[in-house]
Amino acid sequence: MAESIDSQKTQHRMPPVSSRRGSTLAGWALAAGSLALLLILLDSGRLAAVHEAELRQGQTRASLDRLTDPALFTEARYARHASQADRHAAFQDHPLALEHFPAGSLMPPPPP
Amino acid sequence: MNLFRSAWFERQRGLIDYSVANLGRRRGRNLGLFMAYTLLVFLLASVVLYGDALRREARQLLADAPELVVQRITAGRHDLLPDAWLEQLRGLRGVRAAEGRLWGYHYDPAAQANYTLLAPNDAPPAPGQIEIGAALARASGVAVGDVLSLRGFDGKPFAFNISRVFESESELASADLMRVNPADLRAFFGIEPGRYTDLALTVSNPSEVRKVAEKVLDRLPGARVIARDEMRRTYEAVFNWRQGVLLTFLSTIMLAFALLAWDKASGLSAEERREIGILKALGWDTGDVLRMKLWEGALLSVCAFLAGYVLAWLHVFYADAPLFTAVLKGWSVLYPQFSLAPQIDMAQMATLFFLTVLPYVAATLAPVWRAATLDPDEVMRE
Amino acid sequence: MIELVQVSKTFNAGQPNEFTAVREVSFGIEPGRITALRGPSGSGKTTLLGLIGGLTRPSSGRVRLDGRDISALPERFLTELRRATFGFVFQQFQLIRGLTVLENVMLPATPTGRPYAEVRARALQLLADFDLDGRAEARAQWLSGGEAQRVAIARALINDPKVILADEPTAHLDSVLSRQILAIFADLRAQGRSVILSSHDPLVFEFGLVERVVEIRDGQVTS
Repeated sequence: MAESIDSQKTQHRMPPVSSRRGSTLAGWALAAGSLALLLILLDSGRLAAVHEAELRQGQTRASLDRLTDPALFTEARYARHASQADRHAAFQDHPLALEHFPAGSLMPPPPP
Repeated sequence: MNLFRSAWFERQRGLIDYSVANLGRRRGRNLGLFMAYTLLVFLLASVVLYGDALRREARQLLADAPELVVQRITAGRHDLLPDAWLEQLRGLRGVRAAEGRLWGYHYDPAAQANYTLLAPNDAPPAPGQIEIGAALARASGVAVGDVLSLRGFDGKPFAFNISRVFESESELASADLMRVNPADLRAFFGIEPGRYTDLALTVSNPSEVRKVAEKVLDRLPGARVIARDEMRRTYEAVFNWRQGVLLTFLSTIMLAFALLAWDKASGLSAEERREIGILKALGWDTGDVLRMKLWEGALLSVCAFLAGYVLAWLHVFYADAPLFTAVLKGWSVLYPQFSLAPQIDMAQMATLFFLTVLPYVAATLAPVWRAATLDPDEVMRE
Repeated sequence: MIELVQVSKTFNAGQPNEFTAVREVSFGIEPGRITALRGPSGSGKTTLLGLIGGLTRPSSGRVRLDGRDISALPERFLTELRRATFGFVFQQFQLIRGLTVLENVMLPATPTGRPYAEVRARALQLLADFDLDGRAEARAQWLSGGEAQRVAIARALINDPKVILADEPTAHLDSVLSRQILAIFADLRAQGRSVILSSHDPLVFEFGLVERVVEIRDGQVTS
């Protein structure tokens, strides 16, 4: 320790030091994320086309039947066809009836 | 000059190196922050994507709804209407076609499910036959050729032969649907001949719908007329409302998150203050310090945004949103299996991006501002 | 080469805890020499070092570098100048915890925009010169006092500055390590750099290294 530094200058004993930069990592992370986003956006065209074909089939039926409300709220009859329900439908039991099923809390009464 | 070799670029890369090293120094905390952030973006994006897709779907289905639906209201409640109304409206100017619709709801206590029964005018099933939707077939475990027994209005059982099951593709419209012969339906519900549930009108000139609706009301004072536009508006309202509730909720959480990040970061610890002083003393100017901090916040939040958004997209459009299905389904026994079509909305994505990334970046940058502008000699005096 | 003209520095001016660290100090420092500022604690040596190196601006007076007034330069230019001209070694070493030795040494070079490979090679060379290349990947907080001091000096040299400023370089070191550090300074002097250090450690002055002593007391130069 007390030796002069000079004598050690001659040997460059450089152990393998990682050259991994943080910015490289960040770059890869952002690239991966962006690529994933790009891929799914590009695929959306294909998905939409597939769906289009399916929908057209379903539409044919609904268009023939003329009943077009999606079957999303089938817990009660007065929620099932929201576009046809009359003013009282949502409040069958009491005007202030707090919802007794989950779909009701998601659906306001039809507008006047 | 090649951008990637310029001094400016090297400088920025060096700053980013430090930012990443900084993030890595508190790996646990930042990882937790990243995951929470990603989850939040995931939920927000899922709600937005799902709600919009559902709205588009309903809108497409509703495109085939009749232009006008006429209902009879008696004592404020829905009532069956007589075929005399049909005759009256057939002759109305502007009405191209009028047909009586025959349909209703049936609750099956055995299955605890609500069904929609419809007697179509177009190609009705033969008497004694019934056509059902795929969701129903799944739920009851029945198939073509089986017998479906339902209790009629008078308590007597009606036996139907299942002649067809609709293909899965149309489930959104037909999940709970049962199509039967008109005579069967009347017998089942106890609806006398000459009565209909409601009327569907086709109008020759679409821009005349309002006028025709008024004429109908004139002719039939006890009627309630629903225009297709109104139907569409109902669903817009439904989805907007629901989406709004969820978004408000999630945005509040987002805000709380940003505030928490701010709170944690504000009042720089003595250690962080010292380090900024060192950087400045070593030759970093204020701009360098701020940019470095900016990168720190931006890297975390942008990566979280990308991860969250991609996951949300996959969740909604590839996995058919299992999380929301559970919530939406509620107590429904019959629920349609359906997939939604994606549509790219850059404005929406950008809004989401700014709403999620900006608050966080601001929260990480603000506390540093003051310290970054101080004279570096502070670090000399200890 | 470095000139201070009637330089004063007052902290918290106008407030009840107003304090004048340096009072109308004027002197010049020749290039290529080892100059020491000697005085007891609180005499203003640290502040003076900061003024010389552009870490802080004087409340009044001028600081000139090669005839150019640097006290009124905007921050960006001052920083650029400081980066290229001065290398600092702080009393408490002031390494960044959590970063490796190599990263610490490379830190002052980041704003210069020099190519990474080049800076890294130079940093490794410096570490080798100071017998520290085996510690290149060690975290800064794991170093011993002597090692940390040498890393701090290596860091100060990364931009190849003409002037090294060291504040109490032997304050936290035993005699053996102190002599080692002073030998390093002698080396730097031999390379043609200027060294300006502040100290009140007798060992520094006994070592026979210092070519000029500026006595400071109560913020004023006494000799």
